[in-house]
Amino acid sequence: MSAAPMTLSAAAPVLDATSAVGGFGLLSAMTFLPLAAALLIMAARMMARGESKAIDGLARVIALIATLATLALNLYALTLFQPSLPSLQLVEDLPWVAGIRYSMGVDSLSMALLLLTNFLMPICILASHAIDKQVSAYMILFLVLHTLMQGVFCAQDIVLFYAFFEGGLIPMFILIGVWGGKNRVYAAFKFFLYTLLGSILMLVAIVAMALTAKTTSIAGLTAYAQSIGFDPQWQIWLWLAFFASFAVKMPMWPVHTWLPDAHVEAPTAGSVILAGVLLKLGGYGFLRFSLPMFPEASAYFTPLVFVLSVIAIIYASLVAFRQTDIKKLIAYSSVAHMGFVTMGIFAGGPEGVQGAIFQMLSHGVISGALFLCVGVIYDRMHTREIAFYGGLVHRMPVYAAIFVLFTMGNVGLPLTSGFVGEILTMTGVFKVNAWVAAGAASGVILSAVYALTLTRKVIFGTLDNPKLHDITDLNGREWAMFVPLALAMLILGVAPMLALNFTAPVAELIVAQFGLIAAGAP
Amino acid sequence: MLIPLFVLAVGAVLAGWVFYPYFIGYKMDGFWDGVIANAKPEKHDFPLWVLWAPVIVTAIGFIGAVLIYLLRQDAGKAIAKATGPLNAFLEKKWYFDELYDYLFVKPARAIGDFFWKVGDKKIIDGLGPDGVASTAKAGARLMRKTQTGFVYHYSFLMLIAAVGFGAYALWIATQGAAQ
Repeated sequence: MSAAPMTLSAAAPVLDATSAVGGFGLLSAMTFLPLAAALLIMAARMMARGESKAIDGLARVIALIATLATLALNLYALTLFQPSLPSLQLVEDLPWVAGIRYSMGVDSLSMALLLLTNFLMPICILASHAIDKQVSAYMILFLVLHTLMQGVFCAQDIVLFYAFFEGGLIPMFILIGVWGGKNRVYAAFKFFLYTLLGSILMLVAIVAMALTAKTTSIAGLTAYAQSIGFDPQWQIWLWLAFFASFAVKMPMWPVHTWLPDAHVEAPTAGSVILAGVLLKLGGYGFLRFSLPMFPEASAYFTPLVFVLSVIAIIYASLVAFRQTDIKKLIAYSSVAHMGFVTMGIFAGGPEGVQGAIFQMLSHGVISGALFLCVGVIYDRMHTREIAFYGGLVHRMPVYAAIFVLFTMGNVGLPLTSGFVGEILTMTGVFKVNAWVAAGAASGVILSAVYALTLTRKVIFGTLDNPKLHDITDLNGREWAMFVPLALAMLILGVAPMLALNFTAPVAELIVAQFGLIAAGAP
Repeated sequence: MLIPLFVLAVGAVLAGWVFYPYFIGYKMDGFWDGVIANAKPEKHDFPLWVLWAPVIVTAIGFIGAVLIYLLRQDAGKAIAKATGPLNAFLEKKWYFDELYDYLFVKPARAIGDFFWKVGDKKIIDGLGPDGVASTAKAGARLMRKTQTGFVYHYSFLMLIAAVGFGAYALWIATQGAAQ
């Protein structure tokens, strides 16, 4: 890495005392375990010479065991992890190609998002019960996606990060395009083109940065940015290139239109992963790259981000209100909720950054659960039209309770995790710009409008549709999906400090990296 | 349903007696503890009618209810008829629901539809992904037309190109000679 002196003592310790404790290879084992399982399914498929019921069943079992084992490894890694340090831990570092290193490591931001990913994955496998065509191929793709998502959060070399970040596009593209709904090909291409356009610009910026700073290590680049710094004129372009990629992923208004289509067409588990993890890559990118590496440009563009965030919150909420498809409604509500994340990140204070991280975790749980809720009735009735439903509480009381619970989380009711993220990001923004906070607060009201309207139409009222008379309540598998999510939402809502204390050191570091430079200090 | 009602009834009758000292009685300093800026009005500062007004209003309501709902059950309809528009106004809850519907609900629906169908579909998708895709398609269609498969078309194009390049080369050469 670059030998550039660091202005912040804790800015970029690549190797420190904790790395020795971590046990070499743990992160790699965790990251590539799902890929190994995918290869296993592939081998089984080849030996069975094509599709058969037995292979399908085996693929489901292998996928569930692999994702659960990955979660177990992640929990083990958590026991070795010291959240009080803002530094990288469990570091692995090997030369790869052309000066690029296979460099893995986690800080508490990475760790929190890894936990979210690995927590959602077994639930997704359970939610894939209704998939009946090409089951083994579906599971293989999901496991590959799992590896790539973990890689994004673990990668500590920017090119490695890019490889994982971009690689995730491929399995998701195929999952939507093959296992999606009626309009799946359009949605898959839209998703692919939007995301690729953003990422290509980011790739150009990565090359430019690597040539300037003479390193591809993320820690090295951060250290360079914090000591010598990228030229402010250059920063503008670099920032915009990264922004193109992360804004699409987030997604921010006006590059959000791929999301409703992708969600509507994607299979249930695809939607859960899309909302739960893939959208978080944008927020992760802003926190990992934009703020620490381009602090001047970030400060320069903060008003732009604020405006786009408030537009996203209000605009998407109003559009959500008018949707007739449940999944589309939740997709638009995701756009609105991600507005709080971008707003919080660029508020730049501890509340904003902490709130943004928290909101990402909370939204991952809540929106994931809401997409599962849609999946439950879609599996039974094969439609997502709001008008088809109504009065479900009379036939599915448990489902109704779960649906209302997560809707309340989506609205941001106190004691659910949704509340904490919203209040923190708004507090953070209020300190910087009261008008932006006021605009965001009006979005909270609008979220109640669309969410309660949805609940009234789907859950309550009279059960008029004769097709709904024999609909059954949650089965054991569905209970197993919802209970962990409900617990996570309530625990984070009642005791948010569990998560906030965990991410505090990294949040403070990012605030310092952004703040010192942006405020004009050396 | 009756048991909760009994509990509430007991509370309605006795709550004031129990909490009087805390809210406005001798324990109020300890209870509020500076939460509200207290003007500390003494009880005898109030005119007597202020103290009695709630009781009297309640009594009027009680007697009226007994008269209309128990003793003279046809009186309600008669009063409604006699007061006509006023009755309609009150029955519609001051038309607040209609007012809010007009002020907030309908505009929210219209704006939501506009953002969705015009903003998202027409403008963003139309100029963005869909527009780019259809432009690429149209461009390809146009280019395809030049591929006719007739040899004399291609040779004509080659000739034109050769003449063009030749002219350009000559022009460059003469420019150089002129200097």
